Formats: sequence, C-alpha cells, structure tokens
Amino acid sequence: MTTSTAARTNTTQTPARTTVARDPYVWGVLAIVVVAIIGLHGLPVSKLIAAGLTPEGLAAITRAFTADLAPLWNSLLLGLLVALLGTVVGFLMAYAQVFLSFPGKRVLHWLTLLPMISPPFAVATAMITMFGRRGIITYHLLGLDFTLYGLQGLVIVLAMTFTPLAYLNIRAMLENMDPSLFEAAKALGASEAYILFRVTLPMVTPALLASFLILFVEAVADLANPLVLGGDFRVLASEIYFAVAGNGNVSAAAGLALILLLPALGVFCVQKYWAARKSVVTITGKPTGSRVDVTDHGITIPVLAVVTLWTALIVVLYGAIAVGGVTNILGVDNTITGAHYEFVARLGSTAVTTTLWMTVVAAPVGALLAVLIAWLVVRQFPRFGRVLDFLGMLGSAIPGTVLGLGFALAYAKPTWLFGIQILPALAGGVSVGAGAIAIIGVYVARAIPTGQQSVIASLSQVNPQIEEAATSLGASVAHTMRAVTLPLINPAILTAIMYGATRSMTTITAIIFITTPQTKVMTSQILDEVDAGRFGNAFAYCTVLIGLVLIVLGVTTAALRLVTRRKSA
Amino acid sequence: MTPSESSPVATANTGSRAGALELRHVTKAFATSHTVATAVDDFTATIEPGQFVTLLGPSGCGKTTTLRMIAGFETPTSGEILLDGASMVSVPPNRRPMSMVFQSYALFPNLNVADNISFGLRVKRVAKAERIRRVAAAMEQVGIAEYVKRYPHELSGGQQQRVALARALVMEPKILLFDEPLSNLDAKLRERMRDEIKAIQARAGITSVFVTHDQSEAMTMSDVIVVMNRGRIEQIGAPHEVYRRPATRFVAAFLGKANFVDAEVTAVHPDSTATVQLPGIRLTAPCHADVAAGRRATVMIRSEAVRLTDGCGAVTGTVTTAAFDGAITQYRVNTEWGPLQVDSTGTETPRQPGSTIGCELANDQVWILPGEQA
Repeated sequence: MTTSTAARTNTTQTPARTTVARDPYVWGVLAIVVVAIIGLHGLPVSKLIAAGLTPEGLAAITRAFTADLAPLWNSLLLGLLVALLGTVVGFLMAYAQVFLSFPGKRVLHWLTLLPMISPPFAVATAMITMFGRRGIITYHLLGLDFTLYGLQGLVIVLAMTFTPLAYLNIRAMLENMDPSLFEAAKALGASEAYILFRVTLPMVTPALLASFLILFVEAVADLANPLVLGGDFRVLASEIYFAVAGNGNVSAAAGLALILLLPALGVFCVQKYWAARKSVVTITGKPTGSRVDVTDHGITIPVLAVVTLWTALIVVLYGAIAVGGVTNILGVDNTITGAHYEFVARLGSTAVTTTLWMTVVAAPVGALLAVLIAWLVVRQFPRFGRVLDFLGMLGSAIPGTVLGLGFALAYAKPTWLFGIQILPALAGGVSVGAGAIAIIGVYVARAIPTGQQSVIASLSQVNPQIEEAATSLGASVAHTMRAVTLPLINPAILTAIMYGATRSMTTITAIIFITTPQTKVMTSQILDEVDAGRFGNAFAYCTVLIGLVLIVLGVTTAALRLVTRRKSA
Repeated sequence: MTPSESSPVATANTGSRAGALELRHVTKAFATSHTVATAVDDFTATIEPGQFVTLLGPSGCGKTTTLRMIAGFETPTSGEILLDGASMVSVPPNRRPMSMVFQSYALFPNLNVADNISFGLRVKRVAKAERIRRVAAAMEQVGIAEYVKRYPHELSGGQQQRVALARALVMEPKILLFDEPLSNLDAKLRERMRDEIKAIQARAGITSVFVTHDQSEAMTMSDVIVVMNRGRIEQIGAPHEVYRRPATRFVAAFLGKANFVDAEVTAVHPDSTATVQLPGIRLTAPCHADVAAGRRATVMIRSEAVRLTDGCGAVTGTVTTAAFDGAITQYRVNTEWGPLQVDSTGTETPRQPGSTIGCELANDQVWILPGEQA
C-alpha cells in the first residue's frame, strides 16, 4: 500500500483539542480562581513592591549592596552551603533507599521525612541542647568547647530541615529510571561504580539541580532558625524581621524582602521550565525489568556510613525533643517532670485549638482552589493555563518572609477599590477575626502549590474521553466535573489536603508578621518559649505539634486508603 | 451521500427517530504556534436516516476531527452541520441528540456497569422505573445482562466495549458516533464485535457514523464509505464502488492491494471503457470518467486480478519472492511493467523464486485512472 502521501500530514495534526464555546460555569470557576490569586498573591506582592520602592525601601536596598554587605553575603554563603549539603545527603539517602538493601529501610524512610513535619524550632533547639556550648554531647560527653551559634550550626540545622525536599525529589527520579538501562549497562560490561557515575548521576542531574535550587531558596528565606541560632551571624531574612520588630521600619523591610524575592522567582522559573524540560527520565508506566540491588562495597560502605550518621543525628535530636519535654532542664537537671506539658495544657491550649481550627479551614480551601486551578489548567485552558499554573505555584516561589510581610502590608488596613471599601482590615489585632483571616489566607496560599501539583499530575492521567463520554451522554460541564472528574481524582485531593494541613501547622516564617496576641498560633508560641530560654516548654509544644501533625496525616492516609480501596473493589 | 445501489439494510429498518445528517463545506483549521494546519478541508456529505457511514483514512486524515465536530467536541472553523435540517454548530455537545462510543470505551471507572449505562438517563432525569427498564433492555441487546454489578476493570476488553455500546444505545440517540471503537481489541474479537455492532445498528436502525483506519472494518460494516486523505474527501461510495472503481490512486492504494502501471490512452469507448497501450500489449478495461484519449493514464491492477500461467499472458516475468499465507500465496513478480504484487488463490504448488511465469489479467478487475499530473 502506498501511504507515503498520507504519512506526511501526520506532523501537522497534533493540535490541542479545543472545546466548543465555553460554558458560563468555566468562566465562573476562572473568576473565583483569579480573585483568589489576586487576593493571596497579587495584592500582597504588589503592596510589598510598592513599599520596597519608596525612598526608605530603596535606601535599605542600596545599603544592603554597599555599606552593610554582610547580611547579603552571609545569606548567599548560607544558601550555597545548605543547598550543597542537603542535596548531597538527600541524594545518598535516596540512593540507599532505591538501590541498596539493608535492614530498616522503611523506618529510615520515615525518619528522613520527620524534619518535614516538625515545627521549625524543634531541630534548632534540640541542636543547642545536644551540641551547643553546654551541649550534652559536645560539652558533657566529649568536653569540647564548641559553639553552634553562627554559620556552622545554621548550615547543619537548615540542611536537616530541608533535606527531605531533596530526598523526595531525587528519590522519585531514581525510582522512575527504567531498570533495563542498568541491565543494558551491565550487559555491556560496566561495573556498578561505573554505572553510578556514568549512568545514574548524569540521569538525575536535573533532579539534583532542582533540589539544589529549591534548598538554596528555602535556606535563604528561612527566618526561624537564624533567630534562634544566628548569634552574630546576620542574614537578610533576620534583618527583615528586625527591621519590622525592632525599628518598625516596614519600608526598609520591604526593600530587603525584594532582594529575596527576585532570586527566588528566578530560581523558580529555572526549576519549573528548564530543569523540568531537561529531564531525561522516561516514564513509561510499565517497568521493563526489575532492579537488582547494588552490592559493590566500594559504593555501599561509604553511602551507608553517611546514611547511618545522618540517621543517628535525626534520632538523637528527636530523642532530645521527646525526652526534653518531660525533664526539668535536659542536660542540666534531668529530673523527670510533667511541668512542661502542664504549661502547654494551661497556657497553650488556646494556641492548639486555634492552630487546629485555622488548619481545618485552610487545608480544604487550599485543596479546593488547587483542584479548580488544576481543572482549568489541564482541561479548560490548555494554553492560557500555563500562566494560571505559574500564578498558583507562586505560593511556593515567594519566600515565606516575603509573603508574610506582603500580607501584613496589604491587609493591615481596609482594602479599597475605586473609592469603595471592599474589605475590612484582615491582619492585625484590631482587625475582623483578630488577624485569623490573614493567617488563614497565608495558610491557603502556602497550601495551593503542592496540592496543585498533585492534582494536575492526577488529572493528566485521567483520559479526557471519560469526561467527553459524560458530556456526550448529556451531562453539563458542572455535572461532569462533580460526578465524573472529582471522584476520579479523590486521592490527589486528599493528598492536597494532607500537604496543606502539614504546611499550615508547621509554618512560622510566613505568619510571623501577622500573628496577634488574640490569635495564638502554636509555632509562634514555641518561638516565645525558645526566646525566653524555656526549652522544656518548647520541647513539649513541639512534641504535641508533631503528634497533631501525625494524627492529621494518619486520618487523611486512612481516608485515602478507604477511597482507593472502594475504587478498586 | 447516495451510493448507486443503496443497501437493503439502510432502507428497510429506518426507525422514525433515526436522524438525517448533513455536513456542508465543513472546515477545521488549527492554529499552531507558527502555522495554520487544516485538519478538515471543505467536507460536504449527506447521511440518510438509518445509514451506516464510515469515515476511512490513514491517521491524521481528519476523520476523527470530523467525527468530533459532529459530536460537538470541536467547533468548525467554517461550514454547517445540520441534523434533520436544524443547525448543530452552536449547540453544546451535551445538548445534541447523539451518543458516542469511544476508542478507549471511556467507562466511568468508579461506577458499576448498570450505573455506567444509566448515567445519561439520570442526567436527563428519566423516571426510575423507566430507567431500569431501558437499562435492562440495553444490556439485553448487547448481551451483558449478567454483569450488572461488575466494575469496568473487572471486565474484559470485549465486555467493556459492549457496556460502552449499551451506554450509548440506551439514550436512543438520533445519531450514533463511533471513534475507532475496535482498535483496542485483538483480531478475533474485533471481527466478532464488528459483526455484532453492525447487527445491533441494523436492528435499531440508528444512523451511525463510524471512524476507522481499518479498511476491512469499513468494507464489511458500511453502507457508505467516505475515504479521506489530508483533510479532504477522496471519494464517497458504497464499499464495492470505492474498492473496484476508486476515484483516485490514493483510494486504490489505501483499500486492498493494487499495482499501478503507467500507460498511454489510445481510445475511450462509449461504454465507459478505454483502450490503453501498455508495454507489449493493448488492453481494454473499465475507466474513470476523466480518462481522455491521447493522455497519460494509470492502470490499476488488483493483486487478485492476476493469474499466473506457465508462459503465456499479458506480460511475462520472473518470480522474486513467494510467501505462502494459507488461503493465498503472495508473489512478487519482476516484469517489463515493473514489479507486480500477485495474490494467487490457486491450489497448485507454490512457484519457486527465479521461475519464469506468465501473468494473465482479468480485465474486468482492471481499472483505468487518469494519469498523475506531472
């Protein structure tokens, strides 16, 4: 058969299928999403930029680049070191998890992730107790005169906090590598070490790079740890805090925040559009072979050594948190006491309930917005969707410090539009809801990106023909979405709620500028206790918070199981 | 589209609800980043009530886009789609009285068989008693009555296909649309489903538009075949017309196996035959209306129109390859006309490569097309 004439047309026939004149429902959803994005990202960021570009803000920016270069320089150095350490450790943990066989692999996985679900001061405070100047291990056990405050302590603590991000990222890519690649390399006579350096590493380079960039931005933006561990080591994030808290100079703070915002956005773009495209991993769905564990001692021994050391550190630190909550002053007076938990129960119970109810409100709202954005991006606006996707992901690109400050600037006063007041003041003690609304707003903004990612991934897997079938059977756009689309992506929605809840409960950096005396949040309570040197109370708070997060995770995971089991039943 | 001999099936069972579909100058252009690609170009055809019409062509020929425009999932760039005389272009897909059977079946994985089939009736708020009756009838019709409570993933491909068909039939649509529904089935099952779909369609008398790239599916199922290539209609006709009397060389090559030999037309006769001069022989055979004396022509010789002999015939040649395929033996023969594909149903022992043979032609299975413009 001569089909050469026909084959030529193939290249031109790959357009995105467009739908018929869009249903009003679609425009309604778009309107909700656009209003939400303007409220959560647009307004805060534009107010921040406006404040940063005032003479005072510009003066602060100029000073940061000339007279007072130390914070900028320190931030860069800190970011680089944390990104380097975190990526290397994250890779080794992921490599061990995927390619090596050793006892306790599952436990190791959860231990690696632990820092992700714990409040920001947990690791720092435990570090001070165990490895500080009077630390149990450094001073009492080894007799060292070692100071943790400053760069060295910050690098370790921040690397520990953010390594889970690198670990998850790199592990996903390692797992997606086609096992037949390794079989092919072996069949061609390559040793395991050769495969590691010439096949595995080159192929995960995009993930390594992406992790490096994410960790850099997170480390530079982190505010909580420099406050506790920084000492004389000044970084941009803490300078922003002191500009507001110490001098009340919001414009200067906004100017410094702009310095953080620009590289963060740059990194975000590189990561999203360049690293994603560079990905050489073929995701075929069906593995073409099974992975054989790496057994070369030249590889396994060094890898497992690092993994063991890191895991030991995690165990020691979280052990300190657990024990520290029930001892008088850990390392100084080791008598067992219930005083700290009693303190939390007495003075912290409102913070616990407030944190919980705000999370319960914010996580589903964030997940709902994530679903709506994903639906618009994947199903309704194949081209314009990329812009929407970008805008939704901004919540993860804008450093927490910057977003929080933006919220404070945008919502401390009523919002006016064309001379009409459309919103009352939402942030601050005298506002409606005593500041809770703004905090929930920040929670939602931070919950959207991860949720959006998981829902987009899930929705892309759903064959659009299933939705077209519903349409063909007479269902409207709204009915199709409710009756067909949403039930199919249930698991992703629950995952979105889970991530949103975890993030909300453990965030401090983003809400530090908008907490109010009336609306107590657990993370800021912990900061107060750490500031006052009452580590025992802080440990108790941390343990309670970790427990709550685990309960939330447990409940959503159980729900997830129920949903997926029903589907496959 | 009215083929010269309309099939008895098409006229006998025309139900009162079967729709008449008309496409007028339908064109669909997709704007890509640097070019405009025309997926469907000036498609005009009329489909009579109860007819089974197949859109046939290679991938990328615009057949699926045409079907999706009929269903309403795509909007034509220009042109008109009429159902029983009423314009459909501005009617959203969920308001069109048509049902579609998808290539992937597109069953709702979270609903069982009965719920899948009753989905559309629920949307239309059909009363429960009637719904149950109609779902049961549809399941009976496609032979899946025993699978009511099963979920799609618990069914085989063929069963899923039946559920998809029942789900479309239960809506009692004016038009049934099929988007390559058989391409995910294995060869044996495909043939069985092909016959069943055709039988069910004929019984229900629903006007049907079927998209496929498989010529044997198109030939066996259709009242009318629309052969498409590069967004344009190459030919509309009954299966035997497009096979025996293809309008273009593309159609001839796409359906079945054909050999093409260039020739000079010496005379055109009033009975729609022409005489052409081939190397070594003059041949008279049926011809296309555009064939003119003194012009170049392309002679189409179906592979089964050649009979191998021991020496004499229209042309002689040497066997280069011989492949025994059970019912037929496929030969390639080098001749003065160029290489010929020959399918021999003869029961004689296969001829060996290298042997010299003669090729005799069944002239009524030869078809003369106008020559390709230089």
